[in-house]
Order: sequence, then structure tokens, then C-alpha cells
Amino acid sequence: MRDMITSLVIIIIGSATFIYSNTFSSTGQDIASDPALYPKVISVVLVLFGLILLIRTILSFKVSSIEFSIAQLKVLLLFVLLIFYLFALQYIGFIVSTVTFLFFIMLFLGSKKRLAVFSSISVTALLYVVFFVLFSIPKMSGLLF
Amino acid sequence: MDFSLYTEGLSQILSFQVLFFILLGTVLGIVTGALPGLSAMMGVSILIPLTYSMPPAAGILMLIGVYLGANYAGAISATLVNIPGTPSAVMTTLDAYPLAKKGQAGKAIGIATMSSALGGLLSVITLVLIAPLVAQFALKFTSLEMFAVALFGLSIIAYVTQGTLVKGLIAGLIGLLIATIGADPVTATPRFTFGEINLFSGIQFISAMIGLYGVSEVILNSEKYFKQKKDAIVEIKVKVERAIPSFKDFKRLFGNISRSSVIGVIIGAIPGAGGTIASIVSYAVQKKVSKEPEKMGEGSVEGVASAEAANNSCTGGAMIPLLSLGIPGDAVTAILIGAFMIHGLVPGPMLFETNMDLVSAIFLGMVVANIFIMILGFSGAKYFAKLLLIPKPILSAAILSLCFIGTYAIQNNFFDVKVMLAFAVIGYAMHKADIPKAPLVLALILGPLMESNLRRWLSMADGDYWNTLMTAFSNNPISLIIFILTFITLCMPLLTKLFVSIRQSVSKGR
Repeated sequence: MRDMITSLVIIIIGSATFIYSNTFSSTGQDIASDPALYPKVISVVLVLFGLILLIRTILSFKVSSIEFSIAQLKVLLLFVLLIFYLFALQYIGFIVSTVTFLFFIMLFLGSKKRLAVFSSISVTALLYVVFFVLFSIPKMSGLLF
Repeated sequence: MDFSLYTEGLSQILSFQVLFFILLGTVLGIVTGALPGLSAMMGVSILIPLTYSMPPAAGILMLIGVYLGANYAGAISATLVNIPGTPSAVMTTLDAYPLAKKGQAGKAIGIATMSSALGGLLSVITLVLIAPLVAQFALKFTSLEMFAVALFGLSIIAYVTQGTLVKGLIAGLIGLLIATIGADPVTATPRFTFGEINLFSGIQFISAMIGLYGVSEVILNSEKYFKQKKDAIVEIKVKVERAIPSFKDFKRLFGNISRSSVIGVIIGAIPGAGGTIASIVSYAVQKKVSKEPEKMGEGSVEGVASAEAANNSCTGGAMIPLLSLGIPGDAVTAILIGAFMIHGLVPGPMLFETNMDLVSAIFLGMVVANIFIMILGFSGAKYFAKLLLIPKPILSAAILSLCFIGTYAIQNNFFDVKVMLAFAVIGYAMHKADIPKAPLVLALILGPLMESNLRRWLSMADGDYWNTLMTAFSNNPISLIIFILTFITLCMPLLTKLFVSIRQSVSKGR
């Protein structure tokens, strides 16, 4: 089942890139200056291997199920937290968003509250010093710090 | 004889700053290597951001220090808690942990340190002798030959990495497609940019690496925790005593270490085959030649020495194709190429012509890093054992944050962070689909090289492809040989299957 989905996704990706490659405008006449040639060749080979994987999966009759569990949901939540952090960095600024992000992630991964408070502040301080003071990268232009 | 290759880097190496960064890199490498769940790939990719503002020699050598340190330190957690700190320490656990249970953890770590450092040093010597020769040879490569070498590197990594060849090739092809994002190398037509101006210069390689190896590995580790709920708290029951091995041990193991190092260098030089395979092979060889093979697996110092010498000598081996051809020998060296590019350097035969001092500094720096490993391992084993007590949630959260800030710092741009997150999702999905990541990483590096060389050749052939190809083959058969090797690699699974079925039918017929 898993390999079946994988191979179908691969075939779709390969076909999509092939079709999309047609939109690249070519200036020259010969194939060496055709920007679509190389991506097209790779797309075709990719679809080919997707088909090989599909056929092999069908022939092997292996029934493997995909399990869904609470753990998967938590991983999804983790990804959502990461996206929130990205936007927080961009719009709020480094210090506030990093302390908050670290604190919640640490709790989420099973740390004790007191330890999380202490370590989220010290990790933020360390990162701040290394990147913004030592390496002097420009500060993120968030609303707060 | 011209010794400039060995001396020109001296002035760079002998500065306090560079020595300090090599030491820092080695320490950080040992930290990442000793902690299970943090691989050498992850260590190098998340620490690249620290090197942006350094001079090239200092930055690259610091990362090489991370690479060597991480490769070595897998042995520490292998000894203390029976978990390989890096995948390549898997054979080390077989003997090092039984030794630790007998109360000889210090001895095990000492032997591992000695073998790792000696293996590393021997591999640097090989690298110094072989890389310039290969580079000189490769200087004469035409675009067709460069294309062939890149294609060969890609197919062999797909074959060697765990999982099936088909999935390895799929990973490589996806990487090649991702590498086409951005301006076309010949006509500058935007490809797959979807109107996004930030994509015009292509995917930022470092952000891709940090996503694939930093964030997605933290997430996979967290998923493991979510599943078993109670995090197995690491308890170190063994005590680490004196770690410096005796001269008797050194004399007894020297032959073993040399042999294992040769195996390691050779396997390391093959693209895709890294420390794990090298240590398995050399462990097996050691078992064959050992006078007491029955002791191996129950706490034999021979086992520790052969596994550790092999997996560390891979580092020098993997650097051979990196420096001389610009083709990475494994995922870590592929990430190192990214670090070279950040400093505006392109590894490959030309590097020996244009940046001889840097190449020389890299050789010398690797020697220094291996000496640091020896010093740190002998004196600090006790303290590195404490690393295992760092709470996982704190570590994971800190790494995630470092990934974000580090990616942002590449060009002070949030778009790179978005790319990094996208690759974290890709890395996670690939893990779930059982598709190896290493071929994709290699393809990201080799893709532009392959395409530009192919297109250059096509335009030189000017329509008359068949005849040009045949003339090229008859003038210089290197490319033909490499193409044949590639073909054999790709047919390998079929050939082995055929071989097995023939043997079965023969034995049935009897």
C-alpha cells in the first residue's frame, strides 16, 4: 500500500514536471539551447522508475497497511508549530518568539516546566549572542525584539 | 620533488584562529557524534551557519573537524549505553559495550580513540598522495567525461545506500529535477520558478540540507518519543577509568588498524559507501584473520579497533573524490561542498591550480583534527560521557531554533527558511516512503554539473551526435569505460538475481 502510494506520487510528479517543461520558452534552434530538454529527459526516466516500482509492488502482493496514530497527529502539530515560529520570527521578532517557541516545544517533547523556562531563556540568549552579536547578522525586523 | 602542496598551507594552519576553529569543530563534532540521534550529516549541516563570516580555510576546516569528530564519537555512546552514536559505530557496539560491562569502558574508549585517530591519519596520508594525482588526471577531462563521472557517482550512490536500487534512483532523479529549479545555465530562461524571484538563482543548498538533515531528523526523533511515550532515560552504569591504551595494546593492534584503515579508505572513496559499510567489512575481515575469532563480539579489543579504524579512515577516502573531482563520496562531503560554495570555492581539479594553499591547509588541518581527536578522546572521555545526560527535549528544541536562525543567516532572508521547512517535510515524507536521502543530496550537487557539461557537449557536437560520440570514445576511452561501469552498476540487482536463480537451478538439477 505504502509503495503503491509512493509510486503513484512519483508518476504524478514526473508527468507534471514534463508537462510544465513545455512552457519554457526556447530561443535557439538546436537542442543544446533548449531549456526544457534536460528536465524532460529526467521526468521521463522518473516516470519510468515510478512505473517499475508500481509494477513491482503489484506483483509482490505484499499487503502492508499504513497506520495512523496519535503520534502522527502530534508530528503534524509539530510541523504547524514550526510554521507558526517562522511567521512569528518574521513579524514579531527574534527574542519573544524564540523564547515562546522553545518553551512550548520543550513541554511538548516532555520536559519539566521549570527546566523548560530556564533552558528556553538560556538557549535564546546563547543564539542571540552567537548570531546577532558575534556574527553581527542584521536583526530581524519584527514588531518587538 | 615539489613539496609546495604540503607546505603552502602551513602559514594558514599555524594561526591561532584557525587552530582554535579546528578544535571547536572537533569538539562540536564529538558532541553531535556522541549523542544518539544526532548524525554527522546533521552536525555539519546545522553548524555551517557558524562559518559564514569566517575566512574560507577556518570555516571549512572547522566543518571538517565536525565531520571527523562526529565520525569518531559514535564510539562513545556505543561503549557506554550500547547505542551507536552515529550509524557507522554499529559494529563498535558489538565489542565495546561488552568491554564496558566488564568494567573496562575506559579501555574500550581508549582503543577506539587510538584506532580512530590512527585510521584518520593513515587516510589523510592516502588522500595527500592520491588526490593530487587524480586531480591532475581529471584536469584533462572533457565535458563528456565530466558528465560520465557525475552520472556514475549518482548511480553508484543509489546502488550502495540502503533500500532498493529503484528507490535510490528515484531519490537521485528527484534531486536532479530540484536542481533544475532556477535560471537555465545556457539561456537563463527561468525554470520551475513559478514567478518567485527568490527561486531564480536556484534552491539554496544549505537551507535544503538543514531541512533534510536538521529539522526532519529532530521530528523523526520526536515521533519515536511520541510513540513509546516514556523516553528511555539514559542511565550510565559503567564508570570510565583511565583511557590511554598501553604500548602493548598499541603494538598488538597496529597491524589490525593498518589493515582496517586501508579497507576504510578504499570503501570511503567509493561514492555512497561510507563508514557503516567499511566497518562491517573490516570487522568481518578481522574475524577471518584473528587468532581468537571466538572472542570477537564478546568484548574483544580487536573488534573495537577494526571497526573504529575503518569507519574513521573513510573520511580521508571520501575526501579524495571531493577534492580531486568535485564529486562527494558521501552525504556529509556533499554538504561540505555546500560549505565550499558559500565561500565562493568550487571543489574539483581546478582547486589544485587556483587555491593550492587552501588544499594544502585542508590536508594539514585534517592531520591536526585527528591529533585533537586523540588528545580529546584520551583526556575527555569522562566528560563526554556526561553529554548523554542532556535532556532530549531541551536538545531537540534548541536544534530546531538553531536551524531557523542558521538558515535565516545565510542571506538574511526568510524565503530560505521557507525552503528549509519545505525540505523538512520532503525529508520526513521520504523517510516514511523508505526512500534514501543521500542520493537526493548528491544529485543536488551533481545536477548542475551534469547538465552544464551535457549541454556543452551537445552544442559542441552540433547536431552530429553519433559520430562525435564515437570519435570521443576512440580518442579517449575513459568516458566509454565510465559509461559501461555505470551500466553495470544499474544492472547489478538484475545480475545478482540472475546469478542466484542460475545457481539454484543448477543445485536443483543435481
